[in-house]
Amino acid sequence: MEETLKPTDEEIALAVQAGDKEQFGLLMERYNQKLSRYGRKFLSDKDNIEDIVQDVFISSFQNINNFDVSLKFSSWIYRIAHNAFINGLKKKQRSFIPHFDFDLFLSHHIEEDPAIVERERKEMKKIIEIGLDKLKPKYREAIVLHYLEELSYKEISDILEIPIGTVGIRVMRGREELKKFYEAKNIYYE
Amino acid sequence: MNNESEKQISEEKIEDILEKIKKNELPIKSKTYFRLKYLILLCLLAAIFITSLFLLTFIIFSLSAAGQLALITFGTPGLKLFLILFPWKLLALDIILVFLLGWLLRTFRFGYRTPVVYLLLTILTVIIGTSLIIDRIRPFHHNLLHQADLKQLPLLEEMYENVRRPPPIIHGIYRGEITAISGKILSIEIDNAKGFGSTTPLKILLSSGVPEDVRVGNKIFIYGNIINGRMENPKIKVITSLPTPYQQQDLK
Repeated sequence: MEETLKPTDEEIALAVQAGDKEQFGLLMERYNQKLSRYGRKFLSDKDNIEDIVQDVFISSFQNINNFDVSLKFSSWIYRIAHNAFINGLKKKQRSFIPHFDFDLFLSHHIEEDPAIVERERKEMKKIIEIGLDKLKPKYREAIVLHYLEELSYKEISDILEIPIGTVGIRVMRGREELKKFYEAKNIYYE
Repeated sequence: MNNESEKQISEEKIEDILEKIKKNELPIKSKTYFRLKYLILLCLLAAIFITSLFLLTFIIFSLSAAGQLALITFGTPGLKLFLILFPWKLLALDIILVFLLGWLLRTFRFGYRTPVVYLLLTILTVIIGTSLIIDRIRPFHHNLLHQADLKQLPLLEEMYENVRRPPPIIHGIYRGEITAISGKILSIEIDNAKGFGSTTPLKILLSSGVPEDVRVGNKIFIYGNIINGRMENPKIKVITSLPTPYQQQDLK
């Protein structure tokens, strides 16, 4: 019995870097849905997410040599997507994520207990659709990446380029704000 | 999930990108391009770091060279004058450079993973530490000051020449050199505005006698009122760090 192992994202990226350019199609397949979903939560359904995701793929292909294969490809491509969506937000001029944020200044003690994260993920996934757009973008993106895209604080730290402790704080505050919103609307989620 | 699939980008668009890739219509930036970019960033970081280091060591040097630190011993008027003379613009520029350095370092993984305050404190510690080491190991700014004396420092000449300038006399604190000691009377010559040579002679009467550490040839700060070229019982502080200008024979 022969078991075929799927190549990892990083292996595919390495192949593209080595010249096997068409392999990039596999990466697009893998990230099409993820990035579109991330974009929708980030912006809103009305925005031209399809075009932005397409640009993200083109940009990541053209800059593939800038990817360090010893790191995670997901963090790298999400970083490109993050920048693209931020630009999308700026264009809308409704809201933006400021560079200056006091949460970045000091370290924050955070714990990422897998059991707690799993329980919270299940709980949040059920309710996250409602009220997400009420959150500040900086909390919204942390919540989306952590609970919907199931990324660790470390990965989110690489995507948003902020300290791991700040990721934890944003996730926690975003969750608290969501819960307050549900309580105010008498929505029960447990 | 179906709903999710509907909202992702269409197969046609993916095919379109792949088609462009096959036709080489989407050129990949080479590794050399990114290495070069990285190198430029490193050079920029090094340049900012060195400039910041230079400014900080210069501030330290100028404070000690002009003897400004000694002004603090004159109480409130001395402190006020010290604050007036402090090179705030250079310090502000140095602070901007430290922030710029911090901002550029945040493009690296260790940079963005470190809280901003810790990153800035680390940069400051490294810059201050290195400045102090440089100051001890090599009289870097003394050498540059001497080059300025020799008129061999075109761009920075004025900056270095200003180091020797005494405080403006309107504040009642004077800098000068003791030319003679006779009993309780000190003869001094107050430094001219350039701090390069003395012009105004002054007699000082010290009713309690001349302190032991005050000798002919000493550079001093004095605080008191001058009446008819004489000053009675002023506060005196000897400056030990003022660098001697190159003499005419040194220039030959």
